[in-house]
Amino acid sequence: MTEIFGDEGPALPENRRSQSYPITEYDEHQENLRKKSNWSLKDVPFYRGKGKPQDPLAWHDFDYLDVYQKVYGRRCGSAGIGKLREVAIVVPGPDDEYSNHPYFHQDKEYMNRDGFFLLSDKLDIEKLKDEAAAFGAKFEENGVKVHWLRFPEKPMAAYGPMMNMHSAAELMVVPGGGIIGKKSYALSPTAGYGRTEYFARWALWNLGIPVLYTVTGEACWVMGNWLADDVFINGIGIEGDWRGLEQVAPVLKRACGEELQIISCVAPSWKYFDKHTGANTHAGMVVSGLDLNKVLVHTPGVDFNTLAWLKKNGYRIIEADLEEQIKHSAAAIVSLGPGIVMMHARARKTIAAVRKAGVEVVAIDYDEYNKYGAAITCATMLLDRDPGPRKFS
Amino acid sequence: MARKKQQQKPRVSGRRKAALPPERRSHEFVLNEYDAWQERQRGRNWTLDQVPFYKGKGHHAEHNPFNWHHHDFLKYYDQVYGRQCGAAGIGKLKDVGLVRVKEGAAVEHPFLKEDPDFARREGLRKVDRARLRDQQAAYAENLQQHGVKVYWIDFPDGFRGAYGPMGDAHSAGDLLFLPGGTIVPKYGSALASIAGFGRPEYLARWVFWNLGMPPLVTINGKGVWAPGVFLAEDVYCQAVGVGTNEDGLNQVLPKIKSVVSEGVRVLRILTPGWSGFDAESGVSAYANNLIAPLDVDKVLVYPAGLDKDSNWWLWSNGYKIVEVPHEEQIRDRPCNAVIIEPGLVAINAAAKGTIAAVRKAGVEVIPIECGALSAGLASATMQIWRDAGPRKFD
Repeated sequence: MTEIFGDEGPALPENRRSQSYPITEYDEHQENLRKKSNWSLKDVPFYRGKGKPQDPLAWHDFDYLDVYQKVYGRRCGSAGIGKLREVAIVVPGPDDEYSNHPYFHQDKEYMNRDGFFLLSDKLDIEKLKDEAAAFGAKFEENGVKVHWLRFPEKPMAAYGPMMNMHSAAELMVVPGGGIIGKKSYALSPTAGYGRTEYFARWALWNLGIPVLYTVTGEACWVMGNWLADDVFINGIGIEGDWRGLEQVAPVLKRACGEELQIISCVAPSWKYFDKHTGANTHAGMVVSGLDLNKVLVHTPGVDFNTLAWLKKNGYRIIEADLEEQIKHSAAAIVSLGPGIVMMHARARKTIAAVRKAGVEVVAIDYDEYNKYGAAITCATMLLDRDPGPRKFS
Repeated sequence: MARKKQQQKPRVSGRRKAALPPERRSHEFVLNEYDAWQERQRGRNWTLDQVPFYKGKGHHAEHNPFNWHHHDFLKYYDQVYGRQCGAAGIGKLKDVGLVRVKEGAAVEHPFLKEDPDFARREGLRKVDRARLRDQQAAYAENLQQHGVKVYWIDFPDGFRGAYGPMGDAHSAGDLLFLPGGTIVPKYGSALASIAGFGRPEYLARWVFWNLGMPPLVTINGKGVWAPGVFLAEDVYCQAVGVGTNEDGLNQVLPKIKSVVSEGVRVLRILTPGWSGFDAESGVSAYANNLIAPLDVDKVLVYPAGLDKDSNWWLWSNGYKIVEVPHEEQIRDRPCNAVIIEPGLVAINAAAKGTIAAVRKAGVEVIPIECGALSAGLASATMQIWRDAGPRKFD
């Protein structure tokens, strides 16, 4: 027989299974819905009453954003700089240690081609664990709910053992759901194909955050950064191209409003991260929103047109210190809300400049993760924010 | 000390409450296919030689960093998720999903009591569970005899949609499976209030978790879209009307072209009326009530439900057309059929006139008793995976 009920065969040990909450938020929502006993057509939109003519076109003017919370039981979306409410952080594990990876042993020069493994040939996992715990605690101190996301032991990507599972930001969550991007260079053999997909599956199952879109074809796209609820900076470079943006832009506009301005920040170089200039192909590593009219920028990593756009639109530009950008990804921050950001504590000069501009800084030492050429921005899956200020509308 | 203090902070890694009983939880395989794939992958001996574009140690300068910009999603998705999927054509059907009908007497949907006319117009009716279970078991048996793997999908007890108790929970055909993943619809007419918001989403979540197949598109904004029908690998029919609007169509077509083929021909069927299914005229807003592939150049059609241009397109492209009699369309919805492979199709057994005409056209028919279904076989069947099948035009 070929009937599959799903209860055949032995289960894997827990440490080799995808993380599944004992009670998922989706099931909890269903449980709450069951408690309501008096469902009525009066609960149904557009129902006009017994015997009355119904409008057959009404549902054609009904927005997905008006219903998804009723289906999934929760709000989601971090598309702007409103008060941050909820994040997910990956619990680091031994598999994050890149020096143990077989490809690192086989051909270190190839593995380092894209600018990763910046500061050391070895990662201190215990230190990274401590830093991640402190990172989570800092979010909680600032009123942000933290989900701890776990990978199974020895997670596998499309082309081999996965590494750098810690970059939870790869799943961009906008109002209504997540977007599964498509990487095209950095860590492609080890994390580029498989990591975001795990995040998306985890988020849908455990939290009830659906997938709005998966980038397909040959297009490339990774998440960008938000300067306001109506301004999105999208990186174009070795990790994202125009074809990817063409796929994602309509989704962003449906989720965030047709008036959304998408600014394409065209990165220099063909590397993910340039150890000498601090340039980075991910927009969130070189341009960050500090407040509605204030941005932190690493100018050698940002094309002139984008800089000119910022200037012309009245942004006060605070420049990251070059050395701190190289060593600590200083321009990569997490917005906790308008005028308050989390930054890497070792970017002291940059923090001072940001504070001088009237922006509150929550400093967090996240040094170990910098060895991946990554930053707190990368480590944070931004799940939910309050609506925040808009720049233009 | 600092570390100990940090660990005392409240953390969310899943609720600390006791798990729900199985009948009130989302259906989760004991060993899902994604995890099984991960486990198999762990056992392989991995080297960089298995990585695309790798040219060997010492050849660093030859590694074109933009090679990955030519790496198509279709080349790797099965390596990520562990399996192929897609029923975008009429090749041999391999995998399907059916919703397991619960035991016990049917509970009448409260909307049927509250406003029977409205509820029936939306397609809701009392389900004879025992009869449906028997018919579904026989259908599954038939599929298996023809080499189709059947996954059984469970809904939790008392499942709720956005606006109340779910109607038609046994309809598994909401999702369109393309190579690489699914399209999650957004309904705009019949069933929108009782099944449209909640059922497709549950199915998509079930598929992603248990089978590892992701949504490629969830229809959002004010788009409205319901799945269409493939007549071949390169021919897709999409009903446009109260069940699908231009916004919905524009969200789906680029994805079909991306993962099926840029050259796929799209037959836009401009449907008459504004009912999901008009029980008096037989016209419908859904393609699978109006047209079904029988073979690469043979189709089953209810012509009154297709606009003139769609009928013209079929005739002018050399299709042999088998017409559904009006009375059978109303009673049996025979177009709501499932093609098993080119020249072999499962059709509602009650549609005897249609079946005779289809057989006369040289197509083998598997008659399936399915009168207890509220819609039809195609609506009840999650068509997950097919082999590559014939193309009409090249």
